[in-house]
Order: sequence, then C-alpha cells, then structure tokens
Amino acid sequence: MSGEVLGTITLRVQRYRPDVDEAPHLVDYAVPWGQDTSVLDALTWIKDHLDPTLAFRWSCRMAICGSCGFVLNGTPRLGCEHFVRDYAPGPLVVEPLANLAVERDLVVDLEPFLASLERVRPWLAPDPDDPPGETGNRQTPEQLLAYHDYAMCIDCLLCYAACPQVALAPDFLGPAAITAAVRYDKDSRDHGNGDRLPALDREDGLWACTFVGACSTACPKGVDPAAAIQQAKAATAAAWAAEFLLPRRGGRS
Amino acid sequence: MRRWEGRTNEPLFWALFGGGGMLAVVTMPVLVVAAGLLVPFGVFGEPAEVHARVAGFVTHPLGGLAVCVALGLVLWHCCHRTWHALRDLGLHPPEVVRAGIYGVALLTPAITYALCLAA
Repeated sequence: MSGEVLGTITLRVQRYRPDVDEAPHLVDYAVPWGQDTSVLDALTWIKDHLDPTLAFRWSCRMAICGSCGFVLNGTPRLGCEHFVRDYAPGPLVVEPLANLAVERDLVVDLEPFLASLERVRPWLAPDPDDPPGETGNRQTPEQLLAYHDYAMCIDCLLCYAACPQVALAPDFLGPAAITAAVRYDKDSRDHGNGDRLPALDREDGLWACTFVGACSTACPKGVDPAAAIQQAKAATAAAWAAEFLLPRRGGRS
Repeated sequence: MRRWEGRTNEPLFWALFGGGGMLAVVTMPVLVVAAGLLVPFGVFGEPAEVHARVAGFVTHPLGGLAVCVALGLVLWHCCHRTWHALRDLGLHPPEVVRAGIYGVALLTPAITYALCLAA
C-alpha cells in the first residue's frame, strides 16, 4: 500500500473454486486503503497478504487492456478505474461479471464471447476487385471518424454483464461483438458487409436487442454499443428491403 | 429470401416498428398542440369551419387511407413493443399470441378503413 493509509474497508469478494466449493459464496476481507488505492489494488493486496488463492484477471492497471471487469456493488466496472475511497466505509461487494460462466473466483469464461466475436468477422476484408496494392489503404480523417468511437472497444465485457438481453438469450451475439461488426462495416477500407450480414441478421444476432441501452451506460470507453446496434438494425433492414426489391442483388451467400 | 439459417422477418417488423415510433415522435406533439390548443382557441379560424375542412380530408378515400396507414404504423409500434416486452418479462408465449398481437396491428387499420369506405 503506497502512501498514507486513510482507513480499512471490507471487501466482500465472491469466491468459487470448482475443486473445493459447492457453490459461489461471499468472503469478507479487511483491506487498508489510501487515496490512490484502486479496487484492483485492493484485490492484489488480498492476494499478497491474506489469501494467495484468490483468482482474478488483470494486466495494464490503466483501463486499456479490459481484463479487470468486475461487478462492484451491483454495477459492472473496471477494477483499475475505480477507487476504494469512493466505496468507503464499505462493504464493497466484488463479484465476477454477470451473465458469463464463472471459471474460478472472479475469472469468467471468455470463450463464448470470443466465438461470437469471430462470427462477425472483425477484420478488414479488402475489395476483391481492387486490392490495396503498393499504396496501401488510404483513408481521410472523415472516413476514420465514421468508425473511430466504435474502434475504442477494449472487449472488457462490462456491456455483457450489464445487458438484460444477454441474460435472457445466452446465444445473443451481444453488444461488443455487434459493435465490432459495425466498426468494420463503417470502415471505408472494408468490403465485408455482406459476409457479416448472416451473423447479424438472425434471431440471436442483433434482433435480440431491444435497445435497453445498459451497454452504453456500462461502457468505460464511451463506445455507445446501443447506437452501433441501432445503426446495424437500420442497415440490415435496408439490406433486407434491397434484397426483397432486387432479389438478384447481393448474391454472395 | 431466406439465404441462411436463423434468418427471420424481423428486419421488416423492426423497420415498421421504427417507422411507427418515428412517426409518433414527430407528429404527436404537433397534433396535440394543433388539435388541443390552436384549433379550439381559433388560431386557424372558426373551430367549426376548421372541423369541416379536416372532416373533408379524412372522409376522402385517400385522406382516410393516409390516416389509417399512419395510425396503423403507430399501432404496429405498440404491438411490436408489447410482443418484445412479453419476452423481456421472461414469458415465452406460443406463436398464436405473436400472430394475435401482430394481427391486431394489421387488422385494426384495415377494418377501420373498410368501415370508413362503407360509411
């Protein structure tokens, strides 16, 4: 604990070790805190001083890597970005991200999300008739702005923990994956919209979203996934209408 | 139309829902101010004359059709939201409920227009 200790807070941490525990349960830890103690620092202090078996993900400590998402007193947040002083005198309940399977303690299973992400093909698909060639893919600042905010996503999955539709429909593609699709659909260098459509335009694609907006409230990077999904819905409806009126259009399936 | 597994008619249903919502948002405040305040206070002239002019518009077959389509879209918006609200509440109603809800949205303006033409 660097700096002056200002108090002690009770961290009520959800523990679950599948080899030992019957079910997840809350365990209290008394943690000294100072002005600059983040929730992630407090968890690290527990691991260093009280219980080395406590498992949680972390890496950068500066809201870039998206590893340390937890549910703090019921709200999905990054542990590195929120300070214990704002929760004093506590108790501060730290739980794993909701709507995701728990592997151990605060560690959740990311595989379903990674599968969703892969389904939307989140990479640049070059124009098959006009590959970038020697000059590469050039883009104006305006073209960059079209997708810039959506490219700020760090895949921390706070939006999945916040989304009531993810809770209702476990196969729902989810906010971050749809936002990744929109990020590439809106990129002037990309020509993969048609190939992303089958992942988006399906019941468990973007149509499970009912525009609750909890994803955008939870997002620590100001990405606004709810807006991305609404834009994707409009684009998908337009593609549907175009295909209905001109059935031979967009023949790639 | 169906080129991949899991594709639904939701693009059409959602587009009508979005159209109805947009229409309500844009026109309802204007209609409330016009019909609730401006017309009764005589801003557009004698209220009885305004009423006669509006009645002339809505009883014309094309005017009536426009009103039925517009209100039908708004009703579609309400019905679509109702269906999704049932699912949000964790209910999984059978398809007949879905058909009933969207049937109300389709049949209400259609029957209303038929009655308008018959009147």
